Amino acid sequence: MTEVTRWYMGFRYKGDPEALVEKISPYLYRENLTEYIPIIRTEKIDKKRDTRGGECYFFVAIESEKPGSVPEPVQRKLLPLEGFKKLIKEKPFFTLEEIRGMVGKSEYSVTEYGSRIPYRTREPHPHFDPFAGNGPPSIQPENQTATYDKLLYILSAWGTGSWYTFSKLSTELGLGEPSHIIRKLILLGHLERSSDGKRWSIAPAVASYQEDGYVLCGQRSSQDLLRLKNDGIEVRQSRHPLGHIPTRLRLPPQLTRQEITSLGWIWVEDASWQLAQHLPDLAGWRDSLEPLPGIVPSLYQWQRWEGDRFVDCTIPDKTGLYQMDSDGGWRKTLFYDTEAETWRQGDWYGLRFLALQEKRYANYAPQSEKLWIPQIQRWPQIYERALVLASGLLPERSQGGLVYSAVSGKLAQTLADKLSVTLERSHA
Amino acid sequence: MRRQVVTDEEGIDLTGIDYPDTNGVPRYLSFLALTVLAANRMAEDTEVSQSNYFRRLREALNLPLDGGRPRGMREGAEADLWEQWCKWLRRQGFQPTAKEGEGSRKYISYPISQTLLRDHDRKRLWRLFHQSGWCTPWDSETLGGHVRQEVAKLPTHLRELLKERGQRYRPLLEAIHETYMDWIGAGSPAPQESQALSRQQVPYLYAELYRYEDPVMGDVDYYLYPKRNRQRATFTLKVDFNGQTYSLQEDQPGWYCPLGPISGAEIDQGRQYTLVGGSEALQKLILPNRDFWILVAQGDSDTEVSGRTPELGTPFILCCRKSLMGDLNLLRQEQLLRWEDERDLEGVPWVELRQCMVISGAWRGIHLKCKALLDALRPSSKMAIHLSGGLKAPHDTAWLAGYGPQVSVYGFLPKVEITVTRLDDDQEIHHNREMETNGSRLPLNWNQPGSYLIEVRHEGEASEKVVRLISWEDLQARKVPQQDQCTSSAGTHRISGALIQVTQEDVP
Repeated sequence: MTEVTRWYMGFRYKGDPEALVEKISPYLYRENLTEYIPIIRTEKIDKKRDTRGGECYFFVAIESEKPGSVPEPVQRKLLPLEGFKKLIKEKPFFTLEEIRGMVGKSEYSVTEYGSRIPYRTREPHPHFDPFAGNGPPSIQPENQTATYDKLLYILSAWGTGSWYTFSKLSTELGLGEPSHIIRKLILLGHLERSSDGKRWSIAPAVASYQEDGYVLCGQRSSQDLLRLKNDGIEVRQSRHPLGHIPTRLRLPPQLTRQEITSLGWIWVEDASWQLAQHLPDLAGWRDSLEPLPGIVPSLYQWQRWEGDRFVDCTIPDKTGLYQMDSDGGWRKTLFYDTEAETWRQGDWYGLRFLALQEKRYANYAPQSEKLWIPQIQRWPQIYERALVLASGLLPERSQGGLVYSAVSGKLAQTLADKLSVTLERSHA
Repeated sequence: MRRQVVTDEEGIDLTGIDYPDTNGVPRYLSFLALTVLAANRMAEDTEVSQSNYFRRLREALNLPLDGGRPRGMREGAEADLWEQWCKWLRRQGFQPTAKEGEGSRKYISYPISQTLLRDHDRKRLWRLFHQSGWCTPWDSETLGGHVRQEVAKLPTHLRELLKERGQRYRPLLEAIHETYMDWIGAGSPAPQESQALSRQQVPYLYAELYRYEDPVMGDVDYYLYPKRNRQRATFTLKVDFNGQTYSLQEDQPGWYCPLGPISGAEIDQGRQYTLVGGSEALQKLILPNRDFWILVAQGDSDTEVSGRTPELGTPFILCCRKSLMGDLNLLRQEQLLRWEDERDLEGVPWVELRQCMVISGAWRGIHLKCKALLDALRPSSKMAIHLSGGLKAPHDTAWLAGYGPQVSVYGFLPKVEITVTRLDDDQEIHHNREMETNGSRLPLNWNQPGSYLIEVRHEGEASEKVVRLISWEDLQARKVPQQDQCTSSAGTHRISGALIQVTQEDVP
């Protein structure tokens, strides 16, 4: 192919050159002249500053072998037209720089020919706060257990990823707010998240032994179920009534440790109790939270948590829970420790628990093995995980609180002690 | 293979290999590979002819050299095998590149199209490297820029390939770079005509750039994104990075995990990092000293990487020296390129142009001071099939049934003809003679697993893509390496889901 170059022919015109261009455009397409003419630039007339008696310039871009060489079809079909009679003869061709010199301070508009791709920007990454709380319980249109199962399968296949990946996978499946979903999966022992919330990884496949059977947590594939079925092992499947978690899978308690291992799960005796035993006390947990350095308070708008709501404040000066809003429209919830002069990030309920001023309490019913915690005092996620793992079920809502099932007295007391929670006992 | 197809001293019989074996693997593959070998051995371009090709094929089959097309190989028999091979590749989710030619080269073009660089081309490249004294270990992109300046000194086959700038352009640059590494590995010698070129140990790894922008704080970090080379190391590679030693972990196929962040000065000047503890042959990890980097979004992630060509109609990031702004402003004024946001890199005369997009195809008459920039930005086709969204299996290999991608076409043409065919039963599932480009999406139902061929045509231009859908039952759980696992900490214990383990010090 012959190499071509782009240059401009200049014309004078008395009248509105934009109207001329509007009129000529269909003609250029019809006569296939857009192959040689990619652009026309027209000077915008400023009538107040006009010193040329209403005359202005327009410039036709030409693509040809060398500057000044007008392609034959342009010569034959365009130049004889009335509007193109006043060629600027002093200069046979212009560069873009020279055009700027000609029009001085005037602006010019550009008309383009040939098909173009409409400019579009990449959609900004949807940002969900990975640590956001659950908010009010959402009413799902239908039972979505099967879709949650798919989410667990695909997360198991990815193995690990960024918070963005998690948000994208759950959104593509048509599930709700990603921060709510990841919280549930973490409580159920299916997923783990990095301390800064930026990454996640699927948890190891664990069979946690409870008296009435093994609860399966962590990595899962649809082939697992098939394999268990082929091995003649009864898998008890139960779906959450509201359908917003994956199916709970349980294996019979008679299976031995060796059998569990040979099936591909890690055998753990009562993961719930194991976890409760090893968790630190509240101060230890607070110190383990990821610090967020480099915050300049004067750059943001602040609200402070006052027990039941956030209230505007100027500059954070007390230990407590704060909401930080940027001019860019994003929001973060942080805990400020004045003694250590440190900002910490972590799960929303955990930070709120740290900021609690009033007495912390819970109610335990030994007969039914149920633990009731006031909703406003929801425990930090890792302590709540120990409660959830006892049954493999998320808590139910009741009387302004959350009720956890299959919680032994020992488990309830150990966790309550670590969190400085007063455990009241009832017979309900 | 010879035993399978050669019947006697003069002839061959392909009927025994034109169907798949019991595992579904094509039996004819070895024969096709032999035809590619023959094409690879063809000498000068001027002799790209049937007689030259069949002479080489006869040589590979141990048949007498003269006589042209072997007896028993009817005209067009190889075309059937090549078409079967293309179909087989598409079913596996790959895009074939073997193509029929024209006139007397109708059938021999199939194997020739599969030889990116023939022996003869490699020798000519060695000669060019030697004559030009190119002893700096350039990366493939930089080398490609220099080679393009000297294209007149190269054989026709290679010149045509370099001009093509289609989907094989990047593999071609890689192949030229491999040849360059062989030449450097051999001590940068003057090539001898009779010399057989051998593969050399490559002493370098090259890094592309990996970019991450914090969605909340807006901070941008750049990382090294080391590219694997063809020698798969059997040992763990370690790199000395800012005074500390890091193991290079495997990322997606062809890449190691990002390493960094790196400073603006490293981008400005390029840098060589010492590889330690591995084979003596591998010495350096090189971040090339380039004038610009084009970064495109990496699949379904919130990161961008360099080393890939942005698709038509897709915004990208251009990170470049400020000295290139004259060229870039010209492209903007000529309504060829548009961007929305400019951000300086800290402490160096570099700038990031965000949301860059090529908006016009009228680049013919445009000349820039930086020719490499022009080559990199000028679109190589008039249209591109876009696949977006959907639910992808890891590493972009396939989508999940029921959650296939949205299909649209972007380009400089207002309308195109589009056909979607299910390859498992060759059933056409969608056809539109006048699909609108630049925005409209195909109303497709992606419920059935299998491979689907999307073909787009407009006045002699054609483009295709394969979409592979797998069933949920085919989704395999991935073993997560320990270093990639997120954990919660509880004193001396590490918590991962329902598993509580005693913390062990990481072994360096």
